[in-house]
Amino acid sequence: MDIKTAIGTSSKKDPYEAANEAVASCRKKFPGLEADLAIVFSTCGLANPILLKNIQKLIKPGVPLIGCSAAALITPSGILKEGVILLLLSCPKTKISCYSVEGIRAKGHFAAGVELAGNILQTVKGMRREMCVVFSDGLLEDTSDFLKGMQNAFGTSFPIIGGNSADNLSFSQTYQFYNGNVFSQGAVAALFAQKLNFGFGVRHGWKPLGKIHTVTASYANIIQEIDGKKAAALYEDYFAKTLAQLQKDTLLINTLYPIGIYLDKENEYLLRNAMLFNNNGSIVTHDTIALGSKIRLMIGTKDSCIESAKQAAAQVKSDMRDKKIELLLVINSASRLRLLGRSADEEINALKEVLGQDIPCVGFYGYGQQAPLRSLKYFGHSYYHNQAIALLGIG
Amino acid sequence: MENFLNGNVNLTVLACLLAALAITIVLLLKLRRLKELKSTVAYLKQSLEELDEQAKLIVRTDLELNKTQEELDKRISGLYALQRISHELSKTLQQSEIFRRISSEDISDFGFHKALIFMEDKGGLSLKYQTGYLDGEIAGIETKMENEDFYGLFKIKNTTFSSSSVSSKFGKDISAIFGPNSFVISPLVKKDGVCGFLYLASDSVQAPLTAGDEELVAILATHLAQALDNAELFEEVYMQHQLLEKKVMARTQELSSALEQLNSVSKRKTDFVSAVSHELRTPLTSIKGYAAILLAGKLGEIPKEVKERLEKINLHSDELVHMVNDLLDIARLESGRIEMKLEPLNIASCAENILDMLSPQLKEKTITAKLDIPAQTVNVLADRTQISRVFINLLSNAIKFVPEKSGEIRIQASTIGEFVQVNISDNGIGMNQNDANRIFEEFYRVDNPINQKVKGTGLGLTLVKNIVQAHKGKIWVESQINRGSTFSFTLPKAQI
Repeated sequence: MDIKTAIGTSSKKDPYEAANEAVASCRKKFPGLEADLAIVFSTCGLANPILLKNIQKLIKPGVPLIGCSAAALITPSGILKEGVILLLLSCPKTKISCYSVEGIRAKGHFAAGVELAGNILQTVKGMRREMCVVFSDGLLEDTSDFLKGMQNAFGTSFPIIGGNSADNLSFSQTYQFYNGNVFSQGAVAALFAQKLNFGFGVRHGWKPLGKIHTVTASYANIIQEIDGKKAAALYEDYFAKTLAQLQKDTLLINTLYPIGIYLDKENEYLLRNAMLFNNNGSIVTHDTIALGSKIRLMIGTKDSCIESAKQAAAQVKSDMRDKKIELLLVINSASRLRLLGRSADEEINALKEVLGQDIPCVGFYGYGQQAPLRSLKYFGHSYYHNQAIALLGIG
Repeated sequence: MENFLNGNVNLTVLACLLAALAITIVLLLKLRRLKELKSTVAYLKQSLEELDEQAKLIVRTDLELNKTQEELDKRISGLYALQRISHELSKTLQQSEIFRRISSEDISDFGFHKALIFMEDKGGLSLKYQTGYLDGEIAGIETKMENEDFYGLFKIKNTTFSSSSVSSKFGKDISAIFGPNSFVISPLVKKDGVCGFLYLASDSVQAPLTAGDEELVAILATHLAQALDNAELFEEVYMQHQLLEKKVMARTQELSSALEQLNSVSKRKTDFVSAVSHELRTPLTSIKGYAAILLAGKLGEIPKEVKERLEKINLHSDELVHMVNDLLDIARLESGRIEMKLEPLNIASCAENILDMLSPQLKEKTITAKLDIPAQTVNVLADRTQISRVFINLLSNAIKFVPEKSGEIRIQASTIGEFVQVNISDNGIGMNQNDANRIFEEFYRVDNPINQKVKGTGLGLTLVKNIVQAHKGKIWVESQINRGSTFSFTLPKAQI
């Protein structure tokens, strides 16, 4: 067993004290706090350079730190609504290269993806590349394009697994962490090279409902028309609500009834949240939906959510075969947290049912997930998902 | 040939006709099939439309169910938070502590991210609690509140309201002051009226607020106001208690100083009695000596009348010496100048010796004396000589007051806790409660026929009391007129 992990949490309000407490918890497992990578997830109240700088000061100097803000945190002992979680990862046989990119909107999503992946590859030239973990801003309009930029540098079939930062469902500002810096409209990534055993799984559990529809007019992440009618008419028709009523209930509808894009040979549809219903009847989605896409309205239940989490965990287990999982990184969706409500812990317990009760799992609830599709048709291409639970097992 | 040709034409025509007929039949069949297919397609289309309509019904029902579920979840979380806050509030009676007991997690469980509590304070409003705001934001809110006279308007409204229950203009005005669009505001009403307000809000622009939110916040505001009332009440009681304690301390000091004065007076009295007694003994000894010389006739024969007078001088001198000795002993005991020789003492044997010593008096009045002390009674820690004096005094008194021939005296002892209690009972003339209360006072003598006949100093029982108290014991009497008396005293057990 070469990989070691230490996990520390804190729900203190003061970022300096929260860092002290989280590091102190990690010290119990890693007395010398020697690690190759530090991953930090925090709720927005603690997304502060003081938190990161104090963590950096307390752990071994020079350890790269990446992370992001979240709607809530997943800790080994349950869900934390407010606080910070620190993961120290030690993997002596693996070379980890970290980098960040800022100002994605200004640079262009694709160009920013190329820049991040290009820079990250510099320190692992000539080495076997295993996988990349990425955390990007959850309010970007085209994460898929950003992902394509990264794939342009890494190769399209290179596994990229990650999630988008979040706030407290106010969709106002989310944060990314790199070393001691906190910024928005950016992304951070860690590339694992040389040797690493890992497995991943991604599922959402939403099912298609009603007829198949076609996107007949769209621009970037705005769907203007569906089946030749204004896009919002789809939701107006299904929910028997006026546009104004839809606008009032956007958060609930966006969380519970996303748009599903049919993917040939895949077991599940690719989901996109309807973020906004514009007054002109167009719909702003959480990512682009190409013109001509066949789409369905999707519906999910608590049971289907929990069942899908089990399926994702089974995929990780299958990838890892007989290797022990030393860390389970859970990149979950804030929408699932909302749907599950008081049953959110059941989803985490479902993961443990499949992977073992004592599995160290850490993660966060964010605004999107990046993970490869499983079927052969997609050659392991990583896609941007909404409403999904993406799992990364490392052992 | 023509016939042949005609026959061929006929055949061709026939074949054509047959082919046309076959094509017509096929076409008819195809048309029929097409019609069937069209009908199937129409049926399938209708089914799809129906399924889509069903899907619409499902999705509408699901939305309503989810809304209800969310509301229910929110309400349960809110109630749990309310229960936690109420429990925390019930644990403190300090006003400053009340606000510290509300955590941001509790506010979050109520479904809000920001909270403010403002209270009236010295003619103005002051912030008592906040969560979710930056320090810089608070200063801005305070200024805007003052400029808009928000609290004045709020006091007129004086009810709980939310962003979804007020007019959009008023809602916007409030949002302009505090920030978030979704909010609930509730007055804090103490027993003497509105004293501030509780503001809860969510940054999430679309967080739905319901009447349930208003009710829950109103309950929280009521709990807070009650806790503040309780704290004020406690403060008042505490202040009164402090005042009372100060008064008690002042009185205690006064009493202590009075006691000190009393002790000082008592000591001076003891010293005086001791000094006077000493001074009296020397001339008394001389008087007794000279009287003895005269009585012995060493200075010549003395007339009978003179002898009788001299004998009286001798007798009174003896009584005076006895009285002076008693006074001296009392003074010594009070001042602690008598050194007690404490030793394990068998109380039965001590009492028996004294009964032996007093047997002539007992026989003279034909009194029955019964010693009823069990053999297993533990020893006491006492000074043998002093305890003998206690027995002599108490038994002599009993002999004095019991009737001749039918007199009975009983001595009992038993162990009670760390002490041995001795009871000396008689069937004498007894005394009333007032006499019983004063019997141990110096020079106090019960006014009864026997005391009128037999002279006494009134110091014996005082001496007895002082001896018992010098042993850390207690003495008391229970008596009724004509039913006898029981004198009881306790002495500490000797350690085995």
